[in-house]
Amino acid sequence: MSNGVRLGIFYTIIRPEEKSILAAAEARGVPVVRLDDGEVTFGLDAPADLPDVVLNRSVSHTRSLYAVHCYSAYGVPTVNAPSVVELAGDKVLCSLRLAERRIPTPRTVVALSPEAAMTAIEQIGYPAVLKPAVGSWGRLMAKVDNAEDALQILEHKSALSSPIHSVFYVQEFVPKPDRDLRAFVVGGEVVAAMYRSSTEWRTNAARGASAEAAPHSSELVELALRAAEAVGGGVLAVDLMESPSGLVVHEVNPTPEFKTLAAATGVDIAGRIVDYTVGVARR
Amino acid sequence: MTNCPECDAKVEKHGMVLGEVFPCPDCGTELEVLGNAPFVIQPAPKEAEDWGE
Repeated sequence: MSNGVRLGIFYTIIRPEEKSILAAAEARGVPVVRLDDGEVTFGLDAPADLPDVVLNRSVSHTRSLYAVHCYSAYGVPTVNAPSVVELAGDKVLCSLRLAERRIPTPRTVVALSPEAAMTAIEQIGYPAVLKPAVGSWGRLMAKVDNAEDALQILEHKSALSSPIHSVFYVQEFVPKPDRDLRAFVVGGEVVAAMYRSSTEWRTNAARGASAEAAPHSSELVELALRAAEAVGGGVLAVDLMESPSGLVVHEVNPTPEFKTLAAATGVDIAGRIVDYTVGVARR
Repeated sequence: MTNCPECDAKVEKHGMVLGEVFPCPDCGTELEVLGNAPFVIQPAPKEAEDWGE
């Protein structure tokens, strides 16, 4: 039920996820205000005719961050909240929070120059994984097997001009089965979970990993909910790996895709997101 | 019906919504729906480095 709530959807492009969210809103009689992240402008004072809640579906971390801060300043709740987007959208900040809350996560060292990155890789040991602090789909990630690899990869990263590439996020390579786990959290509940399998070490669905529903084991549910709560809660995808010592959380995604997960589990994830978002709208 | 701006193949509108991204059935270029009446498409925005889930 809409309860008179106008739902703003802040988006970059309409992928199957956004299309299913639009359909879920329509099915519930919730009027939608489409907010194209390439067109919207933000003044310092709240404009007239704002929606009652904004669901952030922008694929850009930078655009997401500024938009949710602006809507929040206008008094419009956002899903997710600005602090959640800030924390979960940045791997460095997210890892710090997970560690602070004693949630099992791979060993990680951050460096701010190529020279320090070499030291960080040596501290982690080989093989290590080098990831961009922001952005994902497994892009620009590198598995570093030895010092020669490390020097070459750091040289390439140094040649890239963006400040994003001046932050070196180095993580231990977790020996795991050819799969990882994704738990989709809405509010305080794990609504769906899947294994993502690939013979490649990166198991992102965006890289063609295959998916199957995963059982909601107590360990999975407990860790996923703790990780989601650690970054502030909302609509979050928690990625976990099966390490030899148990599950570890390696990412919490604040604007998750769910097409593959919905197909693998049959769960109406778009409907759950719309229901949750309408529930946090201003009254 | 319109044409792919990359390969000129004919592209039909099948229940697509404004802003939807889909691959050209011929060349696979990612296309974005800019208008429904008339049906207007253009190459979808290129992935930026802070994109990702």
